Amino acid sequence: MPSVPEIEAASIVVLGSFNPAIFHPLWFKMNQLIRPEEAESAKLEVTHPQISIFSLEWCRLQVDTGRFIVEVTDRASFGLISDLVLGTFTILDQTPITALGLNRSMHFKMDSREKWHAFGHMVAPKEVWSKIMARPGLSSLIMEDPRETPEGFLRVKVEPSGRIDPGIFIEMNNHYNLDKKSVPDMLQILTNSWKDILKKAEDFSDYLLERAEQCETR
Amino acid sequence: MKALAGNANSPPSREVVEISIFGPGIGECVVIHLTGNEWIIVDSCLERKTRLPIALKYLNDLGVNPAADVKLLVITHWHDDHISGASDILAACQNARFVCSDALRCEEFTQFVNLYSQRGFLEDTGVDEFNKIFEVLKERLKSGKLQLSEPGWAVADRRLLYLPQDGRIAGTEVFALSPSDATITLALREIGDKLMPKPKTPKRKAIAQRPNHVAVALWVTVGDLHILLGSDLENYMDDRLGWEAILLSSSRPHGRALVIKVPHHGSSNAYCKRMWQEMVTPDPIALLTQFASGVKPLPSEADIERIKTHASKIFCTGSPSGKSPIRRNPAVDRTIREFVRTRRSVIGPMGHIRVRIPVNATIEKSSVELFNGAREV
Amino acid sequence: MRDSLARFVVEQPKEIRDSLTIGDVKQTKEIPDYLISHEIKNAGKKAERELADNPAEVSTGLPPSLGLKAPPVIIRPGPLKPRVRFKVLQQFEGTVLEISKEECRARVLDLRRSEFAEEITFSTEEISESDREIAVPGSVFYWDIGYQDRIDGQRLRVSVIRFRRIPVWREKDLAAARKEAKSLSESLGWKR
Repeated sequence: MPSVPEIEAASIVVLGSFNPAIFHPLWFKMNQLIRPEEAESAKLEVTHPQISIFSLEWCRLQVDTGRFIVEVTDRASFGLISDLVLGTFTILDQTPITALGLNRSMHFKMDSREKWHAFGHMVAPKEVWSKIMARPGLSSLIMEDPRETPEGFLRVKVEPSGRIDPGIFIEMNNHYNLDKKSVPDMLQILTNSWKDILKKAEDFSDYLLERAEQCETR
Repeated sequence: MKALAGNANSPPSREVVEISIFGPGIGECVVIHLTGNEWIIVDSCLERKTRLPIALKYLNDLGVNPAADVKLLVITHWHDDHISGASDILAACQNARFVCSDALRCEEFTQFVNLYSQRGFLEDTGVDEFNKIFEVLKERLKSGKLQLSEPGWAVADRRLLYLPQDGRIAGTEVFALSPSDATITLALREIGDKLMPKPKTPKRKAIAQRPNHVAVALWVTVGDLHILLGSDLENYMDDRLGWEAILLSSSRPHGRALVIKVPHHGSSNAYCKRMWQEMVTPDPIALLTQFASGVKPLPSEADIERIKTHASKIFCTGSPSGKSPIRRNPAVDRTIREFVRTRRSVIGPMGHIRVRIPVNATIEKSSVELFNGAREV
Repeated sequence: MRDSLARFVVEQPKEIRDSLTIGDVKQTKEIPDYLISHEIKNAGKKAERELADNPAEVSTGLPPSLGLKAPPVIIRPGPLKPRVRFKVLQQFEGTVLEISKEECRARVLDLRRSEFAEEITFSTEEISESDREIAVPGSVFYWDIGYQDRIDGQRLRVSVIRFRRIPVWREKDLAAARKEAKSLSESLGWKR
C-alpha cells in the first residue's frame, strides 16, 4: 500500500537572469495566470528590484536576479505550479536561463523508533563505520546520478526528518543544465517530465520504506 | 447463422473474409481480412490496460505481421475516438498506404494540428495523434519511401485500394463514398471558423464539432462480398451532403452490402432509410459500436428499434450506458455523489464482434463471434 | 541611512527549514557591511550636502540609481506554512465538453488510474466566479476531493474545482504554426 507523507512539498526552480520587479501578483493577474482575487489577497513579503517574494493561498513565489522559485506544500497544487511556470515563461520566452530544478520532498512518520533506526540502517549500513565510531547514525545521505539527455543529474537526499520525530525526510532534486538551451526547451522538459518526476519520487519513497520494513522484520 | 463465443486468437483461413469491429465505449476500430493474409485497418482505439492500439494487439495475437500484411490504413476523421494509436499503427504497418479525408487536405488543418500540438501542457489525443502521423510520414519521406509518404485522399467515389485477383483468392476494391465536394467546402469553413484559435484567446483542447463533415464512409468489395462501413457520416436535409449525396452519385460502386457497420452508432442523425433500402441487402449483418459519451449514449432503444426494421441480425460491441463507475474510497464516492448531477463511466471493456464469411459464400455460411461484452441486440 | 535599509531585510525566521532549492541557502539578520555598495555608503554624505543647499527638495527615499548589491545568499523567510492543509483523497483532470448557464458537462480522468474516464454533469455554481469566464468547451480543470484541515483545527471534507490557467494564443504562435504548416504541406504533398 502506498505510503502517505505527513508533510510534502514540491518546487520548481529556474536559474537565469531575472528582473524581480516584474514578478508582482498584479503582473500575474494581468496575464491571467492567477485569479484576480488571488492577486488582491496575495501576501507581499518583499518587493524590491533585487528580490521579490509573495505568497498566495496555495504557493509561494520568490525571485531574485538569478533565481526563480515557486513552491507548494499541497499535493493538489502540484499541477498548478507547473502551469504557473509554463505560463510565466511562455510570456517571458526571451529570458536567459541556465538551469532548471524540479524538486519533490516528503516527510514520513515512522511507526516506531525501531523502524526509524531500521530505515537508517537499511540506507546506510553501519558495519563500515563501526571501525571508527561507537554509535554511528545516519545524519544525511545524498546520492547522485548523472543524466546525459537532457544533461543534468538526479540527486536524492535521505535524512532524519527535522519536522517529525521519529520521521524520515526524502528529497529529490532533478537538475537540468540549460546553458545552451532556450526557454521553449525548458518548457518542453517541464511538460514532459513534471508528472513523471512526482510519480517517481512517490514510487521510490514507497520502495525505500518497504525495504526498510522488510529489513526490520528480518 | 448463430452468434458464437470462439477463440479470439484463432486466425481466419486464407479464403475467409473477416470483419472485426472493436469498441470500448469511446472509440472504434475495424480490421478486415481481405483473404490471403492481406488486411486493412480503419480507424484506431486503444486497449484500456495496455494502452496499445487494439488493431496491432489483435493482429499480433493472430500471428499476423503488420509490417508486411497490412495494405491500407484509413483514418475516417480526426476526432480522438477514431484515431488514438493510429500513428503507432502507421509506424508498424510499413507497407500500408495511409488515407484520410480529403477535407483535411489544407494548410489550415496542418496549422491547426501544429498549433494544438504546441500547447505542450494540454494532452489531446486526437490532434496530437495527427501530429505523430505527420512525423511518421516525414520519416518515410526521409528514408526514400516516397509512394508511402504521401497520404491518399478519400473523396466521394475515389478508389483507395485495388488488389486484383491475379494470384489471389479474391480481388479487392476499397472505395471512399464520402466526403462530397460540398461537404469538403463545409469542413474547410469549419476548420477556419470554429477550430482555428484566435489570438489572445485562452489555449484549450480542441473539441470535435458535430455534425462531422469530414467522415469517410467506405465501400469494401472482396470477391462478390460487399461491406459498407458507415463511419460517423450523418444525414442532412441538403442532398449535396451526407448519405443523400452518396445515393445520388452516379459513379459510386454498385451492389448491396451484406455486412454494414451502422453509421454514427445508430443515431437518428445518421439514419437514412434509402441507404438501407438501396445499398444494403434486405437482411444484412448490422454491426454497431456504442458511444458512452454525450448527453444521450448511443445507440438508444429507439435507435435499435429503427435498425430492427432493416435487419434482424444486429450486434453491438457493448452497452451504451457503459459500466458503472469504479468504486473508490467511501468518502470520495460520497463526495462525488453530492457534487455531480449525472455520472457514468465512458470506457469499458474492449467489445469485439468478429464476422467471418468464406469468400463468395452466402450469409448462411457466415459466423459471428462475440467477445468481451459484445452482444446481440 | 542604515535604518532605511531595514525595509529590505527579510524578517528573521524562527526555525531553519529543510532546503528545497538548488544551491546553498543561508539566513542573515541584516546585510553585512561589505555588501553595501559604495553608492549607498556615500549617499548619506550626498544627502547631507543637498539638505544644506535645498532642504525642501531632498527626498527621504533612496535615489533610483542606488541599489543594493545583490547578496550572495537568498534570505529565506521561514518554512512555508499554509493556513490550511489539504489531504488529497482523489484527483481528477477534467475537460469541459459543454457548458451552459446552469450546467457543465465534462469528461474526467482519474489521475491515479488514467484508464478510468467518466462523464459527469454538475452545476456551474460549483465553479469559482473568477473561473467562469475561462470555463468554455475545451478548457481543462483539476477536481480534487479530500479533507481540508484548517489552522483552527477544523476538518472539512471538500470538493474543489480549479480551472487550469494556460496562457493565451499569441500572434507569433499562430504565425509559427502557419510557417510550419506550409513547410509540412509542401514536403508531404498535403495541400490542394
